[in-house]
Amino acid sequence: MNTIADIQKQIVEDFALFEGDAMGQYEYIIDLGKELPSLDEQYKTDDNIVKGCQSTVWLHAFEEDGKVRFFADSNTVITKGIIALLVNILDNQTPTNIKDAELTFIDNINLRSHLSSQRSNGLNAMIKQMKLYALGFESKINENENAMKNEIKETVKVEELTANEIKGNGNSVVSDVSDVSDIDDKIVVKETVGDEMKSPAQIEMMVTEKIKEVFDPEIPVNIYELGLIYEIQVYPPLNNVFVKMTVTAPNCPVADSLPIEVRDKVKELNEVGEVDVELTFDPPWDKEMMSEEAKLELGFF
Amino acid sequence: MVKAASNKITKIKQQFPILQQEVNGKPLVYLDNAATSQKPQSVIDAITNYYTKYNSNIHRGAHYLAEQATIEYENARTKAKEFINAESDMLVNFTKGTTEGINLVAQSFGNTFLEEGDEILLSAMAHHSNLVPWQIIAEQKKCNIKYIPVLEDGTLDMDAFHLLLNKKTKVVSLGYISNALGTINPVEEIIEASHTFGAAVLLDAAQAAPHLKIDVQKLDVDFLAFSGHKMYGPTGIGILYGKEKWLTEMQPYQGGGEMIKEVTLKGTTYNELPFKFEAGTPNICGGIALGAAIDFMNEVGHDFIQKQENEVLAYGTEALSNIKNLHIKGQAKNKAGVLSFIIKDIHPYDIGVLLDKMGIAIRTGHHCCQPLMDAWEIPGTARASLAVYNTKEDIDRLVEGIEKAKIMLQ
Ligand SMILES: Cc1ncc(COP(=O)(O)O)c(C=O)c1O
Repeated sequence: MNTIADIQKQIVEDFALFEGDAMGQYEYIIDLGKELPSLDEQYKTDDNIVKGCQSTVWLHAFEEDGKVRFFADSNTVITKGIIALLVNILDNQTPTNIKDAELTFIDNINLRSHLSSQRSNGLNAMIKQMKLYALGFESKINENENAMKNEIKETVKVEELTANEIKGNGNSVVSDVSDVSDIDDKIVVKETVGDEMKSPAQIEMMVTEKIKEVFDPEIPVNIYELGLIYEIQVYPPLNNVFVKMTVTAPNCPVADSLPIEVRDKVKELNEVGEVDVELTFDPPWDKEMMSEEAKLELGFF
Repeated sequence: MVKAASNKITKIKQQFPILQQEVNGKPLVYLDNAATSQKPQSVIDAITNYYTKYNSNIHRGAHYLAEQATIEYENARTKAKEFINAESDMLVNFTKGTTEGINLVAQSFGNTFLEEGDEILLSAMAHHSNLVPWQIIAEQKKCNIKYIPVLEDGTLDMDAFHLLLNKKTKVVSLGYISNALGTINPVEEIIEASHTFGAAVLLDAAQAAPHLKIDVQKLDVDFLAFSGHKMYGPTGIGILYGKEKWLTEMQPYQGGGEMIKEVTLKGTTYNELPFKFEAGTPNICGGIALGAAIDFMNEVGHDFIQKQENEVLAYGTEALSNIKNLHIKGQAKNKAGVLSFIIKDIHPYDIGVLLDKMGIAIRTGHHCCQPLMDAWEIPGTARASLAVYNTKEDIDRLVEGIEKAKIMLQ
């Protein structure tokens, strides 16, 4: 088993052969691109497109025996070669190792000097997406382990995540994975079957999703992932909802409006009854309350 | 004869300091002129001169430098007027470029003359700068936009154009030459037909100004916009020509200094043309340097520029056509300065990157013509575009580069 560091070392050595020979380096990258197997058409979905890349890049990932498998493709060979470098390094590694990987080869082979600034942003987007997958799978695996520890008989399937699920769900991936991957189905159920009874846990998921549509102005991460929501309670049978939340600082200008916005958002759900939102500063909010995805998004890693 | 021409090209090329360098270890071949052209020494000198000798604000100072700057700036306006054969200096407005010119007309003409239900006729191969300003005013004024389709060879569907034109058409706004394909549109026919329905015509001459001799009176065009930076001048300066009957009626585009005659707290009397549309301190240096660029083109001569570019274009068309699996996009008979191409199973971006490593600058992508690329279902093209300093040797380097890239990529 090659470690992330080993593989990077090998790449840096390979590149050293082309010192000062830009065309040679490109030939190497192009060959990598050609060697990387094409992604099966069924995975070339919009969900799998890595946003922020100038050419189209698809990234498909799933978990297998505690490792993350990456499969990727692009409509340009050079881009594909660059993804191949990343795939060769990060494929078949554990989520934790991927998440914590320091991709030193990028600087060591001076990769960015070959890339236009747009392309360089694309490279960042790819790395970020791969780490997000790792984060998602890490929590799934933890969840599984917890489930086993709790001796829950029902086997929890580790399913494939799509990029969107991970992007959309942040914290809930960490806290409540098996529910998350079902949520789309549930919404469909709501539309087709109409009045089917929902469990408080399901309602809570839906409330959570709604709250994720609320943003603290100027922070590009929703307030749920920011860690502003301390408590969500659903009281059947009327499904009245109680939310306890905070804002980032007591003198925050949105201290008054944010709870109202949260209440109005949650009220948009047909399934809930009364909604009560309580603002608290106990405990005060702290950066550590952000989800890992939020930290990644805001550049805290 | 042939020898004399190539001597002349060598001399011209020597006037462009930037072309004398190596990029990625190879002598630079610059074939991205449709994006922006390089600048001759005379234009660079005009800029340096302005800032070293007579920088000052124009039209208001009563001192020597201000007088000097005003004279030079207004001189440049006269050069621009002659460049397009406008009736008078007052119809020649300085702008920051084509984009601003089109926005100015869309807003000022639109606010003054457009009414709900009116139609604006555009082309499916238009540059985004000739689409978006119209979409904005159309939304404000509840007007409808119609698009003239583009045929497979890259020419406008003129049958469709005549069918689309009707009494509700108030504006027809088109590119004189397409930047993505090089097609020279049949603008005389378009202008004449539009006028029979009372529609005003705006020509986006961003790509025409560096290649063709423009004559707004002969064209009888209502508005014409172009950018300095695509015709050997600096960025941030351009020209908008408008017919007097429109410009005098149109609302100003922006308010501020320069454009007013009298300001009281009750209101303002606008300054006369062309200052009515030139609010604020303009790009004085840019205007003067644009004048120098016009001088450069006049010295080289329009006939020579066209002859030279057409020769290289014909040579390039032939040479590229001989490359296996390469397809030239835009095969209009009437074309200027652009070789847009795709290669089977190769993404244009890959070609562009490898050519760059060989010191050859081209452009890849949709060239701000996304609707056209979408219609053709291609992600974009690779585009080589010419200026007067490009030679057949540049084409040879391009062809050699493409062949090499193809081998690497296939
Ligand atoms: C046909 C055409 N129109 C308009 C423009 C926009 O010109 P500018 O960016 O100088 O305003 C361009 C430049 O790319 C062009 O090629």
